[in-house]
Order: sequence, then structure tokens, then C-alpha cells
Amino acid sequence: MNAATDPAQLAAFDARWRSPRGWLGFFTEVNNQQLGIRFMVTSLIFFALGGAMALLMRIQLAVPENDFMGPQAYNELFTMHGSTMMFLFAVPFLEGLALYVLPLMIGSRDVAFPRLTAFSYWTYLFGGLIFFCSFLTGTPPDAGWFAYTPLSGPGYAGLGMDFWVMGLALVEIAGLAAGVEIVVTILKLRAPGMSLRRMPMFAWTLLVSGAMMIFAFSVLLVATLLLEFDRAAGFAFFDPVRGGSSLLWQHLFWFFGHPEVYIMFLPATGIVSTLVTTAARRPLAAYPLVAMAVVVTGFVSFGLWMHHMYATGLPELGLSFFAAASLMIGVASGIQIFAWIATLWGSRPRLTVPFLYVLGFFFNFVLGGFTGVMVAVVPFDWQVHDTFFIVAHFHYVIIGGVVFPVFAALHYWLPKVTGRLQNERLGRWGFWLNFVGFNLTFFPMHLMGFLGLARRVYTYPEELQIGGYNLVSTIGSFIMAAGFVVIVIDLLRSVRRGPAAGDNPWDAGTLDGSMSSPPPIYSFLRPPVVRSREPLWGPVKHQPGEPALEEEALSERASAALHAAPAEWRATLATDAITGRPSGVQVLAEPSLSPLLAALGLSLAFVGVLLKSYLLLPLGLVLAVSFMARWLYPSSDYNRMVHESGLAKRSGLPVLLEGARSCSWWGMLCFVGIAGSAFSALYFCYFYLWLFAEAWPPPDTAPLDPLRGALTHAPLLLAAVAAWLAKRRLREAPRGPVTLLGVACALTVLHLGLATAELVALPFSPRDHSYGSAVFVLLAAVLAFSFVAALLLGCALVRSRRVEPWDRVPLRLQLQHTSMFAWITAASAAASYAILHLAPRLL
Amino acid sequence: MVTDSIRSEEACRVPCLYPCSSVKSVVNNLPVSRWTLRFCLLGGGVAWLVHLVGAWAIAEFGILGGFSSVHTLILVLSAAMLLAAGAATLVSAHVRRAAGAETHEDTRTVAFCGRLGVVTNAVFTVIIAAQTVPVFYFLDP
Amino acid sequence: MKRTALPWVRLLPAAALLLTGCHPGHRQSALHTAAEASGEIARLWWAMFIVLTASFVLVMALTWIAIRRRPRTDDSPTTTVGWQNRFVILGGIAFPTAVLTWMLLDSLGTSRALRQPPEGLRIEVVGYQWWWDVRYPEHDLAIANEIYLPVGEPVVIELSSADVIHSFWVPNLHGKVDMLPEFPTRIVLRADRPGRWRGQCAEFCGRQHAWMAFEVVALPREEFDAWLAERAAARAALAADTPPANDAIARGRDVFFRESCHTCHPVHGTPADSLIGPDLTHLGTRLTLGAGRIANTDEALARWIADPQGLKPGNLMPDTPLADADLADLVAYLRSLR
Repeated sequence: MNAATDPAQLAAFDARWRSPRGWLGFFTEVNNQQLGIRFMVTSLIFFALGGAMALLMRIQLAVPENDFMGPQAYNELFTMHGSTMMFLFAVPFLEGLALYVLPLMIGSRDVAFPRLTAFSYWTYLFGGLIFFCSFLTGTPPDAGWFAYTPLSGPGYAGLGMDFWVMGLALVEIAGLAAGVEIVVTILKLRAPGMSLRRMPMFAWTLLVSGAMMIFAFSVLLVATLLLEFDRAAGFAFFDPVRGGSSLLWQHLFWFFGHPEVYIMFLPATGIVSTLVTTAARRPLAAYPLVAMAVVVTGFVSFGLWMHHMYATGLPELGLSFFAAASLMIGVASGIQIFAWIATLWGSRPRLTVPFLYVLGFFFNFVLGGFTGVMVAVVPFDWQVHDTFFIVAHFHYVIIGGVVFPVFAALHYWLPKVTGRLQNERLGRWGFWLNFVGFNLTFFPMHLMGFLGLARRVYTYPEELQIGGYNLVSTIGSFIMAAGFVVIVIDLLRSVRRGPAAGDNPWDAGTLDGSMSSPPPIYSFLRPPVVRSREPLWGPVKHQPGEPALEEEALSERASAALHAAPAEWRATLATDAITGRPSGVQVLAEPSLSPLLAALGLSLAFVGVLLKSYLLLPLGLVLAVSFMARWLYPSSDYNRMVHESGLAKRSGLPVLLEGARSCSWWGMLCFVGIAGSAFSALYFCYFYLWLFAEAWPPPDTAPLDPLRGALTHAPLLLAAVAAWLAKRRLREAPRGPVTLLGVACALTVLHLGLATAELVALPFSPRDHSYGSAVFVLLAAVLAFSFVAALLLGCALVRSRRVEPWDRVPLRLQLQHTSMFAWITAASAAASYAILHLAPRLL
Repeated sequence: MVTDSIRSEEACRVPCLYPCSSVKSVVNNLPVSRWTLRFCLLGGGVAWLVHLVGAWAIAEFGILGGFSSVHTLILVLSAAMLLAAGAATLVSAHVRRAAGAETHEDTRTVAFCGRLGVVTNAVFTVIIAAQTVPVFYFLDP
Repeated sequence: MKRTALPWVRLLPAAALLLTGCHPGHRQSALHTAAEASGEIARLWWAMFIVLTASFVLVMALTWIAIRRRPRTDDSPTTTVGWQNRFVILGGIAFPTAVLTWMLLDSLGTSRALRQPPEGLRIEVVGYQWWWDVRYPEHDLAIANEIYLPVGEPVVIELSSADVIHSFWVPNLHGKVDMLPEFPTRIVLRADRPGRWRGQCAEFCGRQHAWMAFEVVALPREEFDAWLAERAAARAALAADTPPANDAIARGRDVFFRESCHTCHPVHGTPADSLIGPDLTHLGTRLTLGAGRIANTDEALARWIADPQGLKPGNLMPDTPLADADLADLVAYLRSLR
């Protein structure tokens, strides 16, 4: 309590959180607000670039048989436009917004893994730069953002596709990192008292969206890497001549691609929920139903991928299940829309600029949603698939449903970020230009689609009689561009000389309104205690006769103990994932150069693949792995400082965390999700290729030796058991696990040797047939996991040989992670063995 | 150890979806078990997932692979998954009723999960039913 | 199973034409249908259009009322919450479920109506970057970039691809089906009236995806038979090595072989039997050149031979610089291949 008034304590606390200075400081920054702003600014720059490309395309299409640009340039532009908007603008902007706003909303000082945030930003930036470097070499990718094989394969697409694959692979890694970050932050770092039922709807949507990123991006990462195997090493996954399948790519791509739409759309609905609640000045109507709708949307969006493949000629019965699911997801959107209407009903909201964008969203998104359920109808889709009707539909959904809320969020939260209000007049101009321009651009496209304009054509003959519509559309696109320019002018103007915004310019009920604008870098000097869904609108009254809540005492004590404390290290309160009851003091990382260097190493490796200079690949990987290890390696002195600080006694909470109390345990759980979906994608590839193969394995292929396979992979199972026993032993004796860990480590190294030998001595080449490619990649994936497991076990072995009292809990956590990783590795080995050796014999 | 003593003192009152670190949970005062809560929150979703992927795999692999009785298999799967999702709905209703009476803060969060479960599982039941309809349009060869 | 639409639904396309301001010359349109299949799909569209437009107006009206309406004086938090939940359940769950279930049933019914046994005249269409190889195996006939059909009879089009994925789409007759490199697909077309429509590759297939079009001509059965007979007679004449009608054609024939046109293009009954480019056996009757790029006239053909890269950049055919006289002869020869 005294800390509150102690200036020395305040100064020390402030110094602990201050951003590192100097040019080096820029590269070591890990703070969520700073990185959130960087994410948003970078993604808006990409947005402007993507928009400029769209304008060029609109000029080309303005009149029939135009020769403003040639087919090659047009194909490059639409590929870059689509990829930029999907991968480099929409998702990263929402990640940035989440990084900035989420901790403010849920009452945390930072996100769960600050260094991972920095890593995510740097990989995103490098991926985007690599991607745009294709312009420098004069070979931008030209196979579309969906990169259908075989057109994107080695036979048809040049260096441009390598830029696409490797640049986007980095962006996907950034997306995975951001997904883990968002999920764990929401689950673990909510303010005390913020149980699931008091969580802002924006947090619900980000939670679901983050979880979806984990599953969707890992599948896409696998798909793009397989494509690069085809392109760079001559594998045969997608080459129909050698037993590959071009449809396999479509399955993998759309398994990612459809959820991707909802990954963008759900946070946008979260923004709308927030803004509607604020505008109506009352809580969101039917909150449990809306939360349910968000969860159901997240789930069901993974079951829609086939509706991009209605025209492929696959069995119609199989397609029809996806048609049913695609239609029924409309119910979830219906719930949200009617909940917003119910919230607004009779509330007489003020038509502020952000709220105008929300109304624009209503109009555009409902229209786009309705064309969306139409294209879920199989026979109708056979006509409009790959026509401008689809172009119109998804721009209504993505611009109307995502970009309009993003602009709303920009107007709504910018005063919080800059501390200055924007100009109302300019804002209205920007909105109306955008709204009118958008509808002029995209509404005529519905008709163009019906009248025969296929997608991705660089020109069209006059006899289609759609020149007039196209001209209107082009004019509309320039009006929209003018709208965007007005927004940017307004933004820059407000940053320089807008009037002061005050703490809560919109009278929001969420915690972000409780803070100065701009907020302090540590967000909350004292962790807030939450008693209702809109804490700033006053706590909900307890029911009469309800006992005073013991949790509140616990929460208040923890909150007081963390008032302007600790100053020796960065920390925030961790709470239970469901109840929001305080469960520990989470240590947060400080500025570090390692994330940047690890990202740099990874980028170097990818550039090596891209340029076919295979010396860079191992060099980059070694760099990446060593800096990640440096970043993850625990420090005993640090543990000691935390342990001896007395904060545990003051707050009544543990300060060294393990198991489900610790953020990193949840991060590990997310990693299990990533590994699980990546391996599932590989297994799916194997069976899908099998389905279309005449014989599997192909005739005259030397069979795999099942005994050798069993002997190779058995050590991994034993190692997992040993690691698990080691984890259990640690509870009884501090030095207990050393021997067991040594055994586990040795077994894993043994597996490394045996598996490498097996891979080298494969009786067939991965280049001859897709069977060989699939077998090779499955074994190589297990090998890679085994390599990481060996590193983790080795690290645990070294650490467990000397255990100070303050190291005990961190070591337990480390062993929990190591054991979990050993289990994943063993499971992947067992599953791969079953699929490679047993399945062909049984089926 | 300061940390250890605090850790073991504290009870985990809510049946978590995850093992509550190494702390023994004290869940005696709660009306539902951890597994019930998991089923309530995820049952319908998992049933839907199994139904969609299963029905699709049977249709695609079955028709391309030339198996007979594809339709019967899908109908059996549909019936099973409808039952599962329906059961999840009922269990959620039970969770909600059982936890709704109490005023304890954590219990009210469980009641909220029950409410969430009822609507989620009901919607998933409807979606599974909708996904069953197409089979009837493909019965005649 | 034939579905009968409500008569007033049939009137809608006409009304829509007035609205959209287009006139009935649309040869590549999903709304100007010339077959039962495309008609069924258009009917489904108009039905969905009406129901969803009404729903759209309803949602927008509710939104408008919601933000304009004055708060009721008797709004208390407890009654409001109950009312809100009922509103959301009714409007957000019951209403969409009803509409979407109807859409699902109508969609499945339409699919069933569209299902056709693969019986009838067989035509093989193979997609190449960026043209269509069209073969009538029962008539030993190979043409390119155009399909002739008899009116009122089902025609089974077997689709495949020689390189990347293409998609076969004649919107006036039916929806689209992809042409895959790994396995054949098919579509059954049946034109209900004679006419000429334009088809288009609908799956992005590389640089000249835009100019990968084709013509579909539906002829009454007698005319179709006559068309087949003419083609057969022309081939017979080529096979018999009938002397050319005039010197220009004879010289053009020499140019054709001298300039190595035959290394890519086959012509029936001549040593030109390569399979890289479109079959030129009936080039004289071809409706378009360059897969829909330009109409087939003497001038257009001369222009195409001289500058295919200018007309359709990126296609496999190289520019062939020829003396004016040679070019004229070559055109005369090629136009004589009927």
C-alpha cells in the first residue's frame, strides 16, 4: 500500500518498464503497445500498396480490350494484391490491434510472451519484405494468391512463386506466434475477477480467432513447405504425372483459406460488438448467445473448405455436407446481427464517425453474407464460381465485414493511442467517400459475373456488354481511394494538432477507458479488479443475501501487492483461465535482441532456399536455433531474485509458476495444437495421394522394412517414458531426474542416428513418385522433432544437475515442457510408423 | 518454501478443463465433474466435426474407391452424432440447473458455461441434422 | 425429375433485364438461359434473390428503427434482458434457420433435377494453355475452340487437361466443371434451342487465361448431321490428296510446310501430324482465331500468322515473318481447309 505514494518506488517501476533507448533499443523492443503500433503501421503501408495495385487493375479493366497493361503485369498485380491484402494487411493489422488493445481491455500489463511478440513482428516484416523483393528482381509471383498447382509448380511458375512461398512461410510463422500469443494472453492474463462471463466480446472473438490461427496457419505452413519441396527439390506431391494430386493443394489451401476469412472476420465482429455497446451505452444483448455464435463460427469455419471446390467434379454427395455446413454458419452470423440490433434498440446512439463505419458494416456485411449463403448452394455456385460475382461477394465480406470495422477501430482507438481527437468533418467525408466508392466499385461486379466476366482475366471482349459496369466500378474504386487518403490525412493531422482526447472520449465501459491517453507503457500501475462486464459503468450489484466474495479479498490483496511493483523485474497478474481468480504473478520478459536475431536467422534460411544457395539454409537455421535457445534458456540468478523478493508473501500468490498456472505451459499446449495439426495435414496428404493412386506403394517400389522401422522409432517411445518418469521423480528428489534424463537424451540421440540412416538408405527416391515424397517428408518431420527433443532433453539434463531452491519450480516447469515435447515426438513417430508400415498392409 | 506453501494451501474450486497444476483440486462443493464440464463445452462441436469429416471421408473415399452401402454408413454416423450432440445439450442443461442455484462466484461461472453449452450444443445438433438431409437426395442411384 | 417453377418466377428475368439495362444479345450469360439446366439454376437464383432481398430489407429496416426509435419509458433492465433474448432467438436463430433450411432443400432438389445419366453424343474436350482441343470420337473429327451440338439432345462432354487446371463454362447452357490434369471429369449439356454461345475458361490457367474462350453452336439435328457430313467430305478430299482448287492454295500449302507450321499443327491427310497446336484440318470454318481472340476472316488470319504474340502475348505460336505474297498464299491455303 505504501508503494502507491512512494516516489522512489514509482520511479523504479517506471524505469523498469521504460522502452530501451537509442537505435539499438528500437531493435530490442518487446513492449506490446510499441509492437502493436508497428504492426498496425506496417500493415497499413502494405494496405496502401495493395490498394494501389487494385487501382492499376481497375484502370486496365475500365474498358473492354484495354491495353493499359499486358497479361503478365495484370497476373502479377492480382497475385500480389490478393496475397498482400490477405497475409500482409488484414491479419497483421488485427494482430497489432489485439496486441495494443487487448491488454488494456482485459487489464494486463503486457501480453503473455513479449519476446515472441517481437519475433512475430520481425518475421512478419522480413516475410513481407522478401515477398515485395520479387519486384526488384522483376519476377513477381503470377499464379494467384491461391497458387493452384500445377500452375504454381516447378513446371509453370518461375522464381516469383519462390518469393511467394518463402515470404509467406515467414508470415505464417509470424501468424502462428501471434495466435499463441493472443490465446494465452486472453486465457491467463485477464484482470482478477474477469471470469469467462465477464470477458469483453472483443476478447472472445480474439480468443477464437487466435485458436483458429493456430490450426489454420500450421496447415498452410505444411502446404507451402510441401510446395517448395516440389519446386526446389523435385518432389512429386502436386505433380499428377508422378502420382501427385493437384486437388491435394486445393484441400490444404482451403482448409486454411476458409478459416482465414473468419480469422479476420471474427475480431471485426468483436470490434463491432465493442462499438455497438459503447454507442448504445448499455451492455451487449444476449451475451451468452453471441459468445456461443463466435465459438460456433470458429468451429464450423473449418468445415467449409470444400465449398471452394464445388466445380472440381468430386462426388456431389461429399460436397453436399459442406453445403449444409456452409449454409448453417449463417445462423451464427444472424445471432450476432440481431444481438447488435437488440442492443441498439431505442438507445438513440450518437452517429459518431466510428459508429457510422459500424452502420456501413451492417449494410455491406449483411449484403455480402447473403451472397455468401447463395454461393454455398452447390448448383448456383457452378454458375458464379470464379466469376466477378465471387469477386463482389468476398469484397463485400472482407472490405464491408473487416475493413470497415478496422476503420471504425482506427477512429475509435486512435485517440487512445495518440491522445488526440480526430476531426469529425474529415472523418465523415472519409466515411461517405469510402461507403459510396465501395458500393459503386463492387455492386456492379455481381452483374458482371452473371454476364460472363470470369475472374482473373486481364481483359474482356466488347461483346460481353459489360464495359459500362466496369467503368462505373473503376470510378468507384477511385472514390474509395480518395476516402482512404482522407482517412490518412485526418490521422496524420490529428497526431500533430488534434485536441486532447481525454481518458475516455467515447464513454466506453471497458477497462481501456480507465487509462490516460496515451496509456503508460506498462498500461496498469495497479492491476484492476473487475466485478462486471463493463467495469467502468459501475459494478453489477450483488444479489441480495449474496455473501461477500472471498475471491474479491484475494484479488484486492494481489492487486495491492502489485501496485507499482515489482520494480526489479517486469510482472503482471496471472489468473485462472475460466474463473479469472488470481493464480500467480507472471514474470514478463525484458527487452532483448534475440527475437530479432532469431527472426533474421530464419529469414536467412528461407532466402537460402529461395535463391537455391543451400549454404545459407543451415547457417540461417543454426543462427535461428541458437538465438531461440539463448532467449529460452532460464537464468538461475533471475529465479533467485524473483524468489527472494517477498512478493509472494505480499500478494498471497506464487511468483515462480509451473503447470497450468504458468503462461508458458499454455503456450506449450498451443504448440501441441500446432504440431498436431501439422502432422495431421501430412497424414491427410499421404492418404489423399493414396486415394487417387492406382497402386500404393507404386509397383516395383522396394518395400519399407517394418522391423527396421520399428527398431528405429522404438527409442523415441522409451525416451518419452523416461522423460515423463524424470518429471515425476523431480517431485520426490531434487536431483532425482538426472539419470533418467540422461537415458532419455541418449535414446533420442540414438533415434537421431538410426532415423538419419533410415532416411539416407530409403530404397526409393522421393523424386520418382508421390509415395516416395510422402514417406520421405513424414520421416524427415519425425527426425526434425527428434532433433529438437534431443536439444530440450540435453538442456534439461544440464539444468537438473545443479538445483538451487529457487530453481525447483522453474525446473519442474521445464521438465513438464520437455516431457510434453517428448510425448509429441513419440506420438508422431508411432503414428508415422503405423501409417507407413501397417496401413498399406491392413487396407 | 514460501511459494510452495501458498501453492498447496490454495484450492482449485472449479473443475478445470486442464489439470490444475499439481494441486489436488477440491471440487466437493461443486455439482459437476471436470469431464462433465468438458463434455458440456465441447461435446457438440466434436460430434459435428466427427460427423462432417466422417461423412465426407465416407462419401469421397467410398464413392471414388467404389464401396457400396456408403449411404447406410453415413446415416448410421449421422444417428450416432445426433445422439451425442443431443446428449451434450441435455448434460449442459443439467450443469446449468445444478450450478444455477448457488451464488458462489465460481459456481456462477460454471452455470454460465452450462448456459453456453446448452445453446452451443443445440445449434450443433441442428447443424448435424442439416448435414444429414443431403443423403436422402442421393439415395436413388 | 422435372421441377416446375411458379409462373411468375419466369417473368423475373425479363424484369431484371429492364433493371440491369442489358438487351438479350448476351451470348455468355448465366441469366439468358438456353437450356433446362441453366434455367433451373437461374430459377434457383431468382428465388433466393427474392427471399434474401426481402430479408435484407427487413434487417436494414430493423437497424434503422433500432437507432431512430425513442426509448420506451417502461424499459427496466430485467424486462429488457428477457425481451432481448427472445428477439435474438427469434430473429437470429429461428428466422435464419428457416430461410437457410429452405435454401438447402431447394438447392438439393435442383441438384437432383440437374443430375443426368452420361448418355448421348460423346465429345472429348482437352484444355491446353490456352486453347481447347475438341474431338468427336464417334465421328473421327477433331476441331478446336468450338463445339457443335445437336439441339434437344444430351451431349456428354468428357473433360480433361493436358497441363494445368482449366474450367469448362458455357453459362447460357450450364454451370462450370473443372478440367483436371489427374482425372477426367464430365458435363452433360443439352441446348433447348438453336443458337451460338460463348464459353470461357473459368479457372485461372496462366498468362492468357483471359483469351481462352470457345464457341458453342447448337444446330437442329438435320443441320448438325449435314455439318458432320461436310466435315467428313472435306477430310476425305484431303486424304485422297485432291489437287488444290487454285495455285495460291497449292503455294500456300508449300509455305505451310516450308515455314514448319506442321511441326506443331496437324492437318488431316498430310504429313502434318504433330499434336502440339490446334488441329487445322477445318480451319477455314473456324469461327474465331486464338481461342476467341478475333473472328476468323482472311485479314484476321493474316494478322494472326504475322503477329500472334501481339494479339495474344505469351501463347506458344511464334511470330512468323513472311513475304506478303507468301502470307496471302498461306492464308488462302488455310482458309481452304473446310
